[in-house]
Amino acid sequence: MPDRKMLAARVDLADRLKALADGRGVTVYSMLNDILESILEIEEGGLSVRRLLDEYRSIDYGRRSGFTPIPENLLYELIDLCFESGFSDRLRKSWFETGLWISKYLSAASSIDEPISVLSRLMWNISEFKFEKRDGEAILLCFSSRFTLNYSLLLESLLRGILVGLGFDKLDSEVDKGFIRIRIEVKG
Amino acid sequence: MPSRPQDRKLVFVQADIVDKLMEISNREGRTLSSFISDVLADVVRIYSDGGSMKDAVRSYTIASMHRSAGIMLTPVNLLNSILARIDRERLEEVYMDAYESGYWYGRYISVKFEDPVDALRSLLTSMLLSPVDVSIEGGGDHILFRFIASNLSSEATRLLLSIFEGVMSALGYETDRAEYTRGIVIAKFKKVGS
Repeated sequence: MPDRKMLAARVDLADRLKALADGRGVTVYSMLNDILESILEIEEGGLSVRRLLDEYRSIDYGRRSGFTPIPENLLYELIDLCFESGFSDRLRKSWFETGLWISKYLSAASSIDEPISVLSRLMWNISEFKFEKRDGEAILLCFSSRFTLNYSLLLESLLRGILVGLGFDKLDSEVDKGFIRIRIEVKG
Repeated sequence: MPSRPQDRKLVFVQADIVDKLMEISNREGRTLSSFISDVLADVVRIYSDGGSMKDAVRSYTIASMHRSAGIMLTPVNLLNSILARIDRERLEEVYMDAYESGYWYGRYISVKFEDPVDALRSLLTSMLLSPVDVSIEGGGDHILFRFIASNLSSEATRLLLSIFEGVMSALGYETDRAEYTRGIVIAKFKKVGS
Protein backbone atom coordinates (compact mmCIF):
# COMPACT_ATOMS: atom_id res chain seq x y z
CA MET A 1 0.00 0.00 0.00
CA PRO A 2 1.40 3.47 -0.88
CA ASP A 3 2.55 5.74 1.96
CA ARG A 4 -0.09 8.05 3.30
CA LYS A 5 -0.03 11.54 4.70
CA MET A 6 -2.66 13.50 6.52
CA LEU A 7 -4.19 16.68 5.18
CA ALA A 8 -6.28 19.15 7.14
CA ALA A 9 -9.41 19.76 5.09
CA ARG A 10 -12.23 22.21 5.84
CA VAL A 11 -14.94 20.34 7.74
CA ASP A 12 -17.72 21.29 5.30
CA LEU A 13 -15.63 20.09 2.35
CA ALA A 14 -14.63 16.88 4.10
CA ASP A 15 -18.30 16.18 4.87
CA ARG A 16 -19.38 16.84 1.29
CA LEU A 17 -16.58 14.60 0.03
CA LYS A 18 -17.76 11.85 2.32
CA ALA A 19 -21.33 12.19 1.06
CA LEU A 20 -20.10 12.05 -2.54
CA ALA A 21 -17.90 9.02 -1.86
CA ASP A 22 -20.76 7.22 -0.07
CA GLY A 23 -23.05 7.94 -3.01
CA ARG A 24 -20.55 6.36 -5.38
CA GLY A 25 -19.73 3.46 -3.14
CA VAL A 26 -16.04 4.36 -2.79
CA THR A 27 -13.92 5.45 0.15
CA VAL A 28 -13.12 9.09 0.86
CA TYR A 29 -9.44 8.17 0.53
CA SER A 30 -9.91 6.80 -2.98
CA MET A 31 -12.17 9.64 -4.10
CA LEU A 32 -9.87 12.33 -2.76
CA ASN A 33 -6.82 10.71 -4.34
CA ASP A 34 -8.59 10.57 -7.71
CA ILE A 35 -9.54 14.24 -7.51
CA LEU A 36 -6.11 15.37 -6.37
CA GLU A 37 -4.42 13.26 -9.05
CA SER A 38 -6.57 14.98 -11.69
CA ILE A 39 -5.57 18.35 -10.28
CA LEU A 40 -1.91 17.33 -10.46
CA GLU A 41 -2.25 16.16 -14.06
CA ILE A 42 -3.77 19.51 -15.02
CA GLU A 43 -1.08 21.54 -13.29
CA GLU A 44 1.71 19.33 -14.64
CA GLY A 45 0.20 19.73 -18.12
CA GLY A 46 0.90 23.46 -17.85
CA LEU A 47 -2.65 24.58 -17.07
CA SER A 48 -3.79 26.37 -13.97
CA VAL A 49 -6.47 24.35 -12.22
CA ARG A 50 -7.87 27.55 -10.73
CA ARG A 51 -8.30 29.09 -14.18
CA LEU A 52 -9.77 25.88 -15.57
CA LEU A 53 -12.35 25.67 -12.79
CA ASP A 54 -13.30 29.34 -13.18
CA GLU A 55 -13.83 28.83 -16.91
CA TYR A 56 -15.84 25.67 -16.39
CA ARG A 57 -18.12 27.44 -13.94
CA SER A 58 -18.66 30.35 -16.32
CA ILE A 59 -19.38 28.14 -19.34
CA ASP A 60 -21.70 26.01 -17.25
CA TYR A 61 -23.57 29.14 -16.21
CA GLY A 62 -23.78 30.19 -19.87
CA ARG A 63 -25.12 26.82 -20.91
CA ARG A 64 -27.78 26.77 -18.21
CA SER A 65 -28.88 30.35 -18.78
CA GLY A 66 -29.32 29.97 -22.54
CA PHE A 67 -26.15 31.30 -24.13
CA THR A 68 -25.48 29.82 -27.55
CA PRO A 69 -22.33 29.72 -29.68
CA ILE A 70 -22.38 31.73 -32.91
CA PRO A 71 -19.69 32.89 -35.34
CA GLU A 72 -18.71 36.37 -34.17
CA ASN A 73 -18.70 37.99 -37.63
CA LEU A 74 -22.14 36.55 -38.39
CA LEU A 75 -23.68 38.05 -35.26
CA TYR A 76 -22.20 41.47 -36.03
CA GLU A 77 -23.60 41.27 -39.54
CA LEU A 78 -27.07 40.37 -38.24
CA ILE A 79 -27.00 43.30 -35.83
CA ASP A 80 -25.97 45.71 -38.59
CA LEU A 81 -28.91 44.52 -40.71
CA CYS A 82 -31.31 45.21 -37.82
CA PHE A 83 -29.89 48.66 -37.25
CA GLU A 84 -30.21 49.43 -40.97
CA SER A 85 -33.89 48.46 -40.75
CA GLY A 86 -34.43 50.98 -37.95
CA PHE A 87 -34.70 48.60 -35.00
CA SER A 88 -31.81 49.99 -32.97
CA ASP A 89 -33.91 51.36 -30.09
CA ARG A 90 -35.97 48.20 -29.75
CA LEU A 91 -32.86 46.05 -29.79
CA ARG A 92 -31.12 48.17 -27.20
CA LYS A 93 -34.18 47.82 -24.99
CA SER A 94 -34.24 44.04 -25.35
CA TRP A 95 -30.49 43.77 -24.64
CA PHE A 96 -30.93 45.93 -21.53
CA GLU A 97 -33.81 43.72 -20.37
CA THR A 98 -31.76 40.58 -20.98
CA GLY A 99 -29.02 42.16 -18.88
CA LEU A 100 -31.55 42.63 -16.05
CA TRP A 101 -32.54 38.97 -16.39
CA ILE A 102 -28.92 37.76 -16.35
CA SER A 103 -28.29 39.82 -13.21
CA LYS A 104 -30.94 37.84 -11.32
CA TYR A 105 -28.80 34.73 -11.54
CA LEU A 106 -25.57 36.57 -10.92
CA SER A 107 -26.97 38.39 -7.89
CA ALA A 108 -26.61 35.18 -5.85
CA ALA A 109 -22.87 35.91 -5.71
CA SER A 110 -21.31 37.23 -2.54
CA SER A 111 -19.67 40.27 -4.15
CA ILE A 112 -19.71 42.21 -7.42
CA ASP A 113 -16.31 40.75 -8.38
CA GLU A 114 -17.71 37.26 -8.88
CA PRO A 115 -20.36 38.09 -11.50
CA ILE A 116 -17.90 40.34 -13.29
CA SER A 117 -15.42 37.47 -13.39
CA VAL A 118 -18.09 35.07 -14.75
CA LEU A 119 -19.07 37.57 -17.43
CA SER A 120 -15.54 38.28 -18.52
CA ARG A 121 -14.89 34.57 -19.03
CA LEU A 122 -18.20 33.90 -20.75
CA MET A 123 -18.02 36.83 -23.16
CA TRP A 124 -14.62 35.98 -24.50
CA ASN A 125 -15.14 38.10 -27.62
CA ILE A 126 -14.30 41.06 -25.37
CA SER A 127 -10.52 41.38 -25.72
CA GLU A 128 -10.06 43.37 -22.55
CA PHE A 129 -12.54 43.43 -19.70
CA LYS A 130 -11.66 45.58 -16.70
CA PHE A 131 -13.57 46.41 -13.56
CA GLU A 132 -11.94 48.99 -11.33
CA LYS A 133 -13.29 50.22 -8.00
CA ARG A 134 -12.20 53.45 -6.36
CA ASP A 135 -13.63 56.15 -4.09
CA GLY A 136 -17.25 55.01 -3.99
CA GLU A 137 -17.51 54.33 -7.69
CA ALA A 138 -16.53 51.64 -10.15
CA ILE A 139 -15.70 51.70 -13.82
CA LEU A 140 -16.38 48.87 -16.24
CA LEU A 141 -14.21 49.02 -19.35
CA CYS A 142 -14.47 46.78 -22.41
CA PHE A 143 -12.30 46.87 -25.52
CA SER A 144 -12.18 44.88 -28.71
CA SER A 145 -10.87 45.94 -32.09
CA ARG A 146 -13.30 43.53 -33.76
CA PHE A 147 -16.53 45.04 -32.41
CA THR A 148 -18.74 46.99 -34.75
CA LEU A 149 -20.21 50.24 -33.45
CA ASN A 150 -23.68 48.70 -33.39
CA TYR A 151 -22.54 45.66 -31.41
CA SER A 152 -20.73 47.99 -28.99
CA LEU A 153 -24.00 49.90 -28.45
CA LEU A 154 -25.92 46.70 -27.74
CA LEU A 155 -23.26 45.28 -25.46
CA GLU A 156 -23.31 48.51 -23.47
CA SER A 157 -27.08 48.06 -23.03
CA LEU A 158 -26.62 44.48 -21.89
CA LEU A 159 -23.88 45.35 -19.41
CA ARG A 160 -25.82 48.35 -18.13
CA GLY A 161 -28.83 46.07 -17.60
CA ILE A 162 -26.69 43.65 -15.60
CA LEU A 163 -25.23 46.41 -13.43
CA VAL A 164 -28.61 48.05 -12.79
CA GLY A 165 -30.07 44.61 -12.02
CA LEU A 166 -27.30 44.04 -9.50
CA GLY A 167 -28.43 47.20 -7.74
CA PHE A 168 -25.92 49.77 -8.92
CA ASP A 169 -26.79 53.28 -10.03
CA LYS A 170 -25.30 54.18 -13.37
CA LEU A 171 -23.50 57.51 -13.26
CA ASP A 172 -22.62 57.74 -16.94
CA SER A 173 -21.50 55.67 -19.87
CA GLU A 174 -19.58 56.16 -23.06
CA VAL A 175 -19.63 53.97 -26.17
CA ASP A 176 -17.61 53.99 -29.34
CA LYS A 177 -16.67 51.35 -31.86
CA GLY A 178 -14.88 48.67 -29.85
CA PHE A 179 -14.98 50.67 -26.63
CA ILE A 180 -17.40 50.73 -23.70
CA ARG A 181 -16.98 52.59 -20.42
CA ILE A 182 -19.68 52.49 -17.75
CA ARG A 183 -19.27 54.35 -14.46
CA ILE A 184 -21.38 53.21 -11.53
CA GLU A 185 -21.83 54.22 -7.94
CA VAL A 186 -20.72 51.65 -5.36
CA LYS A 187 -22.40 52.01 -2.00
CA GLY A 188 -20.91 50.79 1.25
CA MET B 1 -25.32 24.72 11.46
CA PRO B 2 -22.54 25.34 8.86
CA SER B 3 -19.02 24.80 10.17
CA ARG B 4 -16.76 27.76 10.73
CA PRO B 5 -14.18 28.15 7.95
CA GLN B 6 -11.31 27.46 10.36
CA ASP B 7 -12.74 24.05 11.43
CA ARG B 8 -10.67 21.26 9.94
CA LYS B 9 -10.83 17.50 9.63
CA LEU B 10 -7.85 15.30 8.96
CA VAL B 11 -8.05 13.16 5.84
CA PHE B 12 -5.59 10.63 4.49
CA VAL B 13 -4.04 11.16 1.05
CA GLN B 14 -1.36 9.27 -0.88
CA ALA B 15 1.98 10.71 0.23
CA ASP B 16 3.46 11.26 -3.25
CA ILE B 17 0.39 13.27 -4.28
CA VAL B 18 0.67 15.48 -1.20
CA ASP B 19 4.37 16.09 -1.93
CA LYS B 20 3.69 17.16 -5.51
CA LEU B 21 0.79 19.38 -4.51
CA MET B 22 3.03 20.95 -1.89
CA GLU B 23 5.51 21.89 -4.65
CA ILE B 24 2.73 23.57 -6.64
CA SER B 25 1.34 25.49 -3.68
CA ASN B 26 4.85 26.60 -2.70
CA ARG B 27 5.41 27.85 -6.23
CA GLU B 28 2.25 29.94 -5.92
CA GLY B 29 3.35 31.21 -2.51
CA ARG B 30 0.39 29.62 -0.71
CA THR B 31 -0.02 27.08 2.01
CA LEU B 32 -1.03 23.59 0.92
CA SER B 33 -4.17 23.83 3.01
CA SER B 34 -5.31 27.09 1.37
CA PHE B 35 -4.53 25.78 -2.13
CA ILE B 36 -6.46 22.54 -1.58
CA SER B 37 -9.45 24.21 0.09
CA ASP B 38 -9.67 26.77 -2.71
CA VAL B 39 -9.83 24.26 -5.57
CA LEU B 40 -11.56 21.48 -3.68
CA ALA B 41 -14.65 23.62 -3.03
CA ASP B 42 -15.22 24.00 -6.79
CA VAL B 43 -14.29 20.41 -7.59
CA VAL B 44 -16.76 19.08 -5.02
CA ARG B 45 -19.46 21.31 -6.55
CA ILE B 46 -18.71 19.89 -10.03
CA TYR B 47 -18.92 16.32 -8.75
CA SER B 48 -22.12 17.09 -6.84
CA ASP B 49 -23.68 18.32 -10.12
CA GLY B 50 -22.79 14.98 -11.71
CA GLY B 51 -19.67 16.25 -13.51
CA SER B 52 -16.01 15.33 -13.21
CA MET B 53 -12.60 16.89 -13.68
CA LYS B 54 -12.51 15.32 -17.14
CA ASP B 55 -15.64 17.34 -18.03
CA ALA B 56 -13.94 20.49 -16.80
CA VAL B 57 -10.82 19.82 -18.88
CA ARG B 58 -12.92 19.03 -21.96
CA SER B 59 -15.02 22.16 -21.52
CA TYR B 60 -11.88 24.27 -21.17
CA THR B 61 -10.27 22.74 -24.27
CA ILE B 62 -13.38 23.21 -26.38
CA ALA B 63 -13.89 26.79 -25.22
CA SER B 64 -10.27 27.55 -26.13
CA MET B 65 -10.84 26.02 -29.57
CA HIS B 66 -13.98 28.02 -30.16
CA ARG B 67 -12.22 31.17 -29.08
CA SER B 68 -9.51 30.73 -31.68
CA ALA B 69 -12.10 29.79 -34.31
CA GLY B 70 -13.96 33.09 -33.89
CA ILE B 71 -16.99 31.61 -32.17
CA MET B 72 -18.55 33.66 -29.41
CA LEU B 73 -21.42 33.11 -26.98
CA THR B 74 -24.59 35.14 -26.93
CA PRO B 75 -27.95 34.78 -25.14
CA VAL B 76 -30.23 32.80 -27.45
CA ASN B 77 -33.24 35.09 -26.90
CA LEU B 78 -31.21 37.99 -28.30
CA LEU B 79 -30.33 35.95 -31.37
CA ASN B 80 -34.02 35.12 -31.81
CA SER B 81 -35.06 38.76 -31.49
CA ILE B 82 -32.42 39.96 -33.97
CA LEU B 83 -33.44 37.40 -36.58
CA ALA B 84 -37.13 38.21 -36.09
CA ARG B 85 -36.46 41.79 -37.20
CA ILE B 86 -34.70 40.98 -40.46
CA ASP B 87 -36.92 40.92 -43.53
CA ARG B 88 -37.40 37.69 -45.45
CA GLU B 89 -35.30 38.62 -48.49
CA ARG B 90 -32.34 39.68 -46.40
CA LEU B 91 -32.68 36.51 -44.35
CA GLU B 92 -31.84 34.39 -47.40
CA GLU B 93 -28.54 36.30 -47.69
CA VAL B 94 -27.96 35.78 -43.98
CA TYR B 95 -28.43 32.03 -44.36
CA MET B 96 -25.86 32.00 -47.17
CA ASP B 97 -23.41 33.87 -44.98
CA ALA B 98 -24.14 31.42 -42.17
CA TYR B 99 -23.32 28.59 -44.57
CA GLU B 100 -20.00 30.30 -45.38
CA SER B 101 -19.21 30.69 -41.68
CA GLY B 102 -20.00 27.01 -41.17
CA TYR B 103 -17.81 26.08 -44.11
CA TRP B 104 -14.88 27.94 -42.57
CA TYR B 105 -15.48 26.23 -39.24
CA GLY B 106 -15.59 22.86 -40.99
CA ARG B 107 -12.23 23.57 -42.63
CA TYR B 108 -10.88 24.59 -39.24
CA ILE B 109 -11.85 21.33 -37.53
CA SER B 110 -10.77 19.24 -40.52
CA VAL B 111 -7.27 20.69 -40.09
CA LYS B 112 -7.31 20.34 -36.31
CA PHE B 113 -8.63 16.78 -35.95
CA GLU B 114 -7.89 13.43 -37.56
CA ASP B 115 -11.56 12.46 -37.31
CA PRO B 116 -13.43 15.74 -37.79
CA VAL B 117 -16.90 14.14 -37.69
CA ASP B 118 -16.17 12.63 -34.32
CA ALA B 119 -14.72 15.97 -33.16
CA LEU B 120 -17.84 17.74 -34.34
CA ARG B 121 -19.98 15.36 -32.33
CA SER B 122 -18.00 16.16 -29.21
CA LEU B 123 -17.91 19.91 -29.89
CA LEU B 124 -21.66 20.12 -30.39
CA THR B 125 -22.64 18.12 -27.36
CA SER B 126 -20.24 19.98 -25.09
CA MET B 127 -20.92 23.55 -26.03
CA LEU B 128 -24.50 23.95 -27.12
CA LEU B 129 -27.08 25.54 -24.92
CA SER B 130 -29.46 23.57 -22.80
CA PRO B 131 -32.11 22.26 -23.00
CA VAL B 132 -30.83 20.68 -26.16
CA ASP B 133 -30.81 17.25 -27.68
CA VAL B 134 -28.26 16.77 -30.42
CA SER B 135 -27.00 13.68 -32.18
CA ILE B 136 -24.76 12.93 -35.12
CA GLU B 137 -25.27 9.35 -36.21
CA GLY B 138 -23.30 7.30 -38.67
CA GLY B 139 -20.03 8.18 -40.32
CA GLY B 140 -18.44 7.02 -43.52
CA ASP B 141 -20.77 7.74 -46.44
CA HIS B 142 -23.91 8.79 -44.58
CA ILE B 143 -24.51 11.01 -41.57
CA LEU B 144 -27.77 11.82 -39.84
CA PHE B 145 -27.93 15.02 -37.81
CA ARG B 146 -30.74 15.55 -35.31
CA PHE B 147 -31.10 18.63 -33.20
CA ILE B 148 -33.84 19.71 -30.79
CA ALA B 149 -33.69 22.98 -28.83
CA SER B 150 -37.06 24.31 -27.74
CA ASN B 151 -35.86 27.87 -27.19
CA LEU B 152 -34.71 28.50 -30.78
CA SER B 153 -37.00 30.49 -33.08
CA SER B 154 -37.77 29.20 -36.56
CA GLU B 155 -35.25 31.65 -38.08
CA ALA B 156 -32.54 30.69 -35.57
CA THR B 157 -33.19 27.00 -36.31
CA ARG B 158 -32.78 27.65 -40.04
CA LEU B 159 -29.60 29.63 -39.32
CA LEU B 160 -28.20 26.70 -37.38
CA LEU B 161 -29.06 24.31 -40.22
CA SER B 162 -27.25 26.57 -42.71
CA ILE B 163 -24.17 26.68 -40.48
CA PHE B 164 -24.23 22.91 -40.14
CA GLU B 165 -24.66 22.39 -43.89
CA GLY B 166 -21.59 24.60 -44.39
CA VAL B 167 -19.60 22.57 -41.86
CA MET B 168 -20.58 19.30 -43.53
CA SER B 169 -19.75 20.64 -46.97
CA ALA B 170 -16.23 21.46 -45.78
CA LEU B 171 -15.96 17.89 -44.49
CA GLY B 172 -16.88 16.51 -47.93
CA TYR B 173 -20.61 15.86 -47.42
CA GLU B 174 -23.60 17.19 -49.34
CA THR B 175 -27.12 17.60 -48.03
CA ASP B 176 -29.26 14.64 -49.03
CA ARG B 177 -32.39 15.70 -47.16
CA ALA B 178 -32.97 18.47 -44.62
CA GLU B 179 -36.09 19.36 -42.68
CA TYR B 180 -36.58 21.91 -39.99
CA THR B 181 -39.31 23.42 -37.93
CA ARG B 182 -39.02 25.76 -34.93
CA GLY B 183 -36.41 24.23 -32.64
CA ILE B 184 -36.02 20.95 -34.56
CA VAL B 185 -33.62 19.97 -37.34
CA ILE B 186 -33.30 16.60 -39.05
CA ALA B 187 -30.74 16.48 -41.85
CA LYS B 188 -29.19 13.66 -43.78
CA PHE B 189 -25.83 14.07 -45.48
CA LYS B 190 -23.98 11.88 -47.95
CA LYS B 191 -20.34 11.83 -48.88
CA VAL B 192 -19.70 13.66 -52.13
CA GLY B 193 -19.25 11.11 -54.93
CA SER B 194 -20.66 8.17 -52.96
